[in-house]
Formats: sequence, structure tokens, C-alpha cells
Amino acid sequence: MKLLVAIFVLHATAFAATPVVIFDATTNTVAVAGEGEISVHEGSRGDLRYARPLDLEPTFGIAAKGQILLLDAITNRGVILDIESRRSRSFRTGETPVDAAAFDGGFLVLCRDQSSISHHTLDGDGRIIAVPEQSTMLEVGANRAFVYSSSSGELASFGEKLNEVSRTKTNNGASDLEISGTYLYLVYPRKGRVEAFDTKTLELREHFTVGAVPVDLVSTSEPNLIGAGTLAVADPSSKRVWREEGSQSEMQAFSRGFLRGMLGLGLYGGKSTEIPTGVDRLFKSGKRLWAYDTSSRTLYAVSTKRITKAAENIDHRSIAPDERGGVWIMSAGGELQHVGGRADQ
Amino acid sequence: MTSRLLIFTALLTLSVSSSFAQASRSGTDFELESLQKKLRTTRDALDLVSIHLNLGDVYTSRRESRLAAESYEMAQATAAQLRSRSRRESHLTLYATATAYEGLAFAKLGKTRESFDRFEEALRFLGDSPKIWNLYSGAMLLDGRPEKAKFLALSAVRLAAEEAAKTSSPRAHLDLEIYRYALASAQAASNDTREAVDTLEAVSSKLDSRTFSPIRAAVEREEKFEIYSSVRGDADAFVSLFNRVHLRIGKLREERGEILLAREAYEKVLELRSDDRTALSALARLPGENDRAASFARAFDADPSSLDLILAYRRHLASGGRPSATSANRGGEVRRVIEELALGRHRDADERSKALLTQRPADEGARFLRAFVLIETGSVSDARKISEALPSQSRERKQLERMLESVVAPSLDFLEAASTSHVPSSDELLAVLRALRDDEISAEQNRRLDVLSFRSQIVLPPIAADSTETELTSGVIEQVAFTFGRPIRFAGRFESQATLEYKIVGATVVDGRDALLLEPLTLRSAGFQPAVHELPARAATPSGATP
Repeated sequence: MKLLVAIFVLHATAFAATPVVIFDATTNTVAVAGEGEISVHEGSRGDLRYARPLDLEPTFGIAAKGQILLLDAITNRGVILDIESRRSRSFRTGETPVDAAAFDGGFLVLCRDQSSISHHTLDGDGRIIAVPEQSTMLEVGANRAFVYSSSSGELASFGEKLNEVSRTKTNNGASDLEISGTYLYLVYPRKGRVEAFDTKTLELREHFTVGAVPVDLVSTSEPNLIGAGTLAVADPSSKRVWREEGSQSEMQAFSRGFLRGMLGLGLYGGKSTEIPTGVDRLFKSGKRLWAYDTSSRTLYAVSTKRITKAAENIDHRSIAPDERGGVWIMSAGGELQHVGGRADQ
Repeated sequence: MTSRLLIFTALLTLSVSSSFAQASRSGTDFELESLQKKLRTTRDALDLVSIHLNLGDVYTSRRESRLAAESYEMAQATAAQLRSRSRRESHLTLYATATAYEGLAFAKLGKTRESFDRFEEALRFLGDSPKIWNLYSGAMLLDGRPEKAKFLALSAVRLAAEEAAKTSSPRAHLDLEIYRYALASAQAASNDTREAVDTLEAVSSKLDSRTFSPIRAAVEREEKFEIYSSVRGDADAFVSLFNRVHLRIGKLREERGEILLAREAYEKVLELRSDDRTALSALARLPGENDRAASFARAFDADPSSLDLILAYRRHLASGGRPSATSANRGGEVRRVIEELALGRHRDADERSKALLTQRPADEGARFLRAFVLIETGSVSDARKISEALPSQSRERKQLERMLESVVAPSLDFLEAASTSHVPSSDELLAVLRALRDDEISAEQNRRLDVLSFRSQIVLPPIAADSTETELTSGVIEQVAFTFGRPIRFAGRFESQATLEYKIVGATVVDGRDALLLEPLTLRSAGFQPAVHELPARAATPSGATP
């Protein structure tokens, strides 16, 4: 099936720096931020709604419930924009804000070098609390915020008021942290495995070997009463995206069932591969999976049977899943494009 | 391929970000040759990246910015190719390493955001690698973000300490000390000077400890002295670390006014490398040094292009310091330029600095020296041209810009306002001299010079007790040299000082100095009746009074 690519010309000139593209499901808008400006577009056809000056160069951006958060890790600054009212607020962060998540009506910002998380809303800045040193990842789920440090291996969880609930020492060197159901997953490229922790107690429940060098993980279906849900794991070394069943508390076996599906190999078992340099990032949009190769800057669409090249020469921050199966991307030529599915569905 | 070559990349950032840790010219000539030879024979891609980075640093230390940038660009391009190839070949550790190196190359090229992106990518794969954290720290320090550098360095130290605790291998411990050094550099850059000194002293102690006896023995055995930024062997790493630690201690102690401790640290550097130009330059600069002239000579021999040395030597001479003994090398030539400036022998200084620049046109130190001479001799616009051609971020350019700002361009406006007989100031005489020398005098100003006469106090040479005449050919007025072009005899005897009335007719050179060519009108003793001068073609008209 051919990918449907809709192209909406945004600007005639290409961005010199990498623009950040963000999609907000609440308002059905897609925003493009970079080079001193943020432009907000209608999320079906990409028509421009408005543009405003921006006084930071974003290295990270997310959207939640009609608000956009942009962070600049170099200059330690952030800005929150309310899409509908166009109100915005700039603020200073701690040293090197590298991750963020929507939390408690605002956003939690993780400042790696400051070893802190802080809460920010459109109206002001809230608490700043200490987290494990050099924490690199933040995720929110199961009514908690989870923070992990890849250098120390410490994992901590925080409750609604940002009170620390649990902390544990795990292995260092994880490349991804994901929450699915009652489980927290850490992906270890060098160990070639995924570890699953209980979100309430942070106890290690299970670990399983995945391919050769797993790097990124997404949950492709949530766990329910019947099944544990499924996970997809990007393994650039074996040039595959593995599909794996999520952890279940009832299962006792370790290192089980790591081949539920092999994607990325030629269908007929040949040595050729559809992803010659592998993929190392995964995005979920609705029920559809997308994969990205940082080394070649290539985006792939992933189906149950094949991986198809969707776009080339784009940065991972210029990819925004629209939660309807497609993604918005900013091409190198400065064109805002919708790829896959129909943007207006 | 070992990962050893990663170990020292923090040091190369430190060697660039600070003005010290630069090897002597002869030392860097050797290093350049050695690196270029390796470039021709090396096949390993990561080694090639390391060599290009090293070359860039050597060129930077020689103030050859363009060549440095080219080397860094080669490093970045080679690392980018290696990233792509390693992904195709499924070598993910190599991919992450190459990504980090590309990040470092970007940092050296001043591309902060690209550097940040690469390092964040590298950390995804090697977040438990102290080497990656250390490289990242170095890159942030290069970019002038010491707070980030400090925290990143702390991670590197923590991870390396964990690794070192599990082994007695000198290599693991050397890695740890390298990362501690990087941490100290970040602390110093964050103005945590006390912490930085403590960290460095701890590193120094460790380097002297038994842990590193085998490596010290290897250094002596292999007669290691090359200072590299990116190294492959333990002995190379030890030598480079030792050098940098003590230079850094010296600098920090000097900044804190702890001169004796600073001197000890610099002298420790010379124990391992007797021609280290930074240590030699620092020792020459330090107050209380017994024979500064000799120290300057050694320092210039090691580093003839040092901006700091040129300025320090100029100050040394201006404060009455003794010039160093002559040397028949480039360092000696640079010193002579500065000495000639101090003596007012502007023409000689001009010729010599021009020759030095012709020999090494890409050398920013030589360009600085040339511009320095031009400023001191009043050719401000020529100096400005040289300054503007220097890289915008170079120390030499910034220093010249400061000097040019403070230069007051000599003005001939006084000619317009002067009465027919004017007593000129030193600045006014200098302005006329430079304008005539450079042919920058207008027709109107020339006309005014024809009309005006000037009066100045001059010092006369002693004459024989029985002489009734005073002969004078040349002299100095307000520190500006003058000559009549031929001997003039003045009838009568004068005190050592007299008032000369004269016209200014041109500019010439006397004994290597620019000089005003004067037409004498009268010579008067101070407070006495006027004396009449005699020109060689006429008979004397004795009307001068005898003091």
C-alpha cells in the first residue's frame, strides 16, 4: 500500500537549525518551532492559524491538552504556549533541560545537569525537587512521575505532589524508559535486554533478551485482562523491529519468547534488509508504528509485514505523530508534510 | 581498535580553551610532522578522526586558525562517514563513539547545537561510558558552558572511579585521573578555583604515586616528550596529563598570587619537557625571577609567536629591564624588534617585523607583532588592516582592537591654529613626523609648515673647554629625533640646554630612527642674549654671549 503523503508548503526557505514539530490532539493543531518563530497550523490540512516570535531555539517540545512546552537545553530556557488563547510564558530552567512530561495541569521539566525536576504552568513555576544525579529520562504514568539516571542507574518515582515515593538502584546505561500499564520498562543496548519493573514498588519483575542491541521501545497495545499487551523494540544492530509480548505478573519464565515477529528482513528470508542501517527510534501514532534511523535521518512506516521508507533527510525532532496513524514532519526543504493515513480523519 | 584514543580528548579541549598548554614551535614542528606521517599511513577511521583533531589542536596552538578549522572539518567529515558505515556494519559501540567524536569536532568548529545533538545521541547508546561523558564535558567547556561541563565531568569521574575500584591496572587509574583533570578545568572555568586547585593537587599526587610507576618507567624508557591532545598509549597520555596538570596548577596559583607555588608548578613541567613554552613564558613573566632577561630569552626561543611574551617583554624593557642576550633564531629576532621599539629605532623595528611576517605569513603571532610595531610607530590604519584580517575570536585580534581603541590618532590640526612661532608638544612633533614620513600631509598643511617656525629646548653635546663654537648635527626634541642633515656650527658656548628655533622641512632616517629634518634658525641659551648660528657656507657672526 502506498503511503499517502500530503505536502503543505510552510515556508519557501529551509531551516538552518532543526525545527521541532509538535502535535496537540486536544486542539488538533500542529506547531513548528525554530529559528525565532513558532507557527501553529490546523491539524487536518496544515493551514496556518498563526505565527509568533520565539525567543529560544528549541531542542525539545511536547504538547498536552492544548498547551505546548518548548525547551532549550543549551541556554536553559523554556516557554509554554496556550494554543487557543495564544498566551505564553517564558521561564528559566535549571541546567540542561532534556526531557519533560505533562503532569498535574502543567509540565514537569527534567534538568539533567541540575539533577532536578520542576513543575511549570502557564501561570508560574512550581516546585523544584532533587532527583538522582544526572537523570536523563522522565516519564509519567500510573499517576506517578518516573526518573532514571543512565550514569548512576538510579530510578525514582514521585507522587502527585512530587513527593518521592520510591527509589532503587538498577543497572546503568539504559537508553529508554517507557511505562505500559503497571510496568516500567528500561531498555539496555549494551546488555541486549529489556528489564521490567513494577511501577508501584520499582521492584524488578522480569527481564528478557531482545535481539542484539535494543535501543528504543514503545507499547503498541496496552495490557488488558486477556493479554499483556505488546511492545515494539528497535534494534539497529540486527536491523529489526522486534515485537514482544509485554510482561505479565503471572509469568515466571525469564528470557522467554523473544521472537513473536520479525520485521525488517526481506519477506522471503533473504539477507537483504529493508532498513540497511537499522532503526533506533520508534513512534506510535494511533495503531500505527513508525520507525526512524538517526544515522541516515530516515523515517519508515512499519506494518505487520514490512518496513517502508517514508521520508528522508529529516530530524527526529521534526516528527510529530498525530495519533491517527500518520505523522507530521518538517522536510529539509522547509515543507510541512503529513505522511501516512489521512490527516483529516 | 582500542578506545584509548577517546581518553584524552578532554585535554585537547582544555588546551584550546585556555591560552596555555601550547608546545614550543620546534616541539610543534615535530608533532606536526609526526601526525602528518601517521595520517599517510593510518587506515583505521577512528584513528584518523583522532589525528585530524590533534592536527587541529596543534595548528590552533601555533595560531594558524584556518589550518586548524580545515583539520576539524576533516575530523567531522571522517567521523560522519564512520557513523554511517558502522551502522551499516552493525557496530553500535563504534557508531556511538564516532558520534561522540563528531560532536567534539562540531564543538571545535563552534557549532554548539550540532555538538549537543551528537552527544545526546552517543549517550543513548553509551550512557554508562565515562569516556563519552568526559568528551561531552570537554565539548561544553570549549563552548564556554562550564556549568554543564562540570556536571558532565562529575559523571565521568564517578563512572571511572567505579571502574578503577575494580582493578589495579594503571590504565584504568590513568583514565580516572584524566577525567579528574577535566573536572578541575570545568571547576576553574566556573570560578570554583579553590576546588579546582584541590582537584589538581590530588591528581598530581596520584601521578607521583606507585600506581603509575610502570608508566613512568615506560616514559623514561621510550623518551616520551610529545604532548598530544588525543593519544593512543599510556605513556603518551601520562606525559600529556602531567604537563597539563602542572601548567594548570601554575596558572591557578599565579592567579591567586601564590607566586612561589606557581613557580614550583611551572618548573615541574620543565622537568619532563625542558622547552615547554608555556612554562618558560610563565617563568619569565613571574615577578621575583632572578634573571628575567635569560628567562625571556629561553621563553622566546621556545615560543617566538607568543602574544603574552611579546607584551611582557615590552613591559619588562619599558620598566628598565635588561634586554636578553642576542640569539640567532626567530625568538632572538622577535626580541630585537621589541628592543628596537623600546629604543625608538622604529625603522629597524619596522623592517625586521616585516621580514618576520614574510617568513611566516600565516602565523598569527607574527601578524600581531607586525601590527604592534605599526601601532607603536603611528601607522594606525595599516595596523588596523592586519587586525581585521585576523580571525575574529583570536586573542591577537582582541588585543590589537584594545590597543587600537586607545590610540589617539596624531592630528595636524594645531598647524591651523599655531602662531607664526610655535612651541610644539611631543605629540605634535610626532604627528608631523608621521605625516611627512607616510606622505599623508595635505598641501595646505605643507604650506603652513613653510610659514611656521618652531621653538624647542634641546640638549647640546659637551664641547672642549677652549672651544668657542658648538657644533650640532642631530639630536632629540621631546623624544622625537631630528637632524639638520649636515653639521651646523653655532658661534659661542652654550649651556647643556638651549632653545632652538627652526623650521621643519621634511622627514628622514637617522641611525634607524625616523627623524625630522630641520632648518635651524637661531640657537639661544636659556635666559641669555640670543646667539647666532653659523651655516657652513658663511662666516660666523659672533654675537653669542658666553654663559
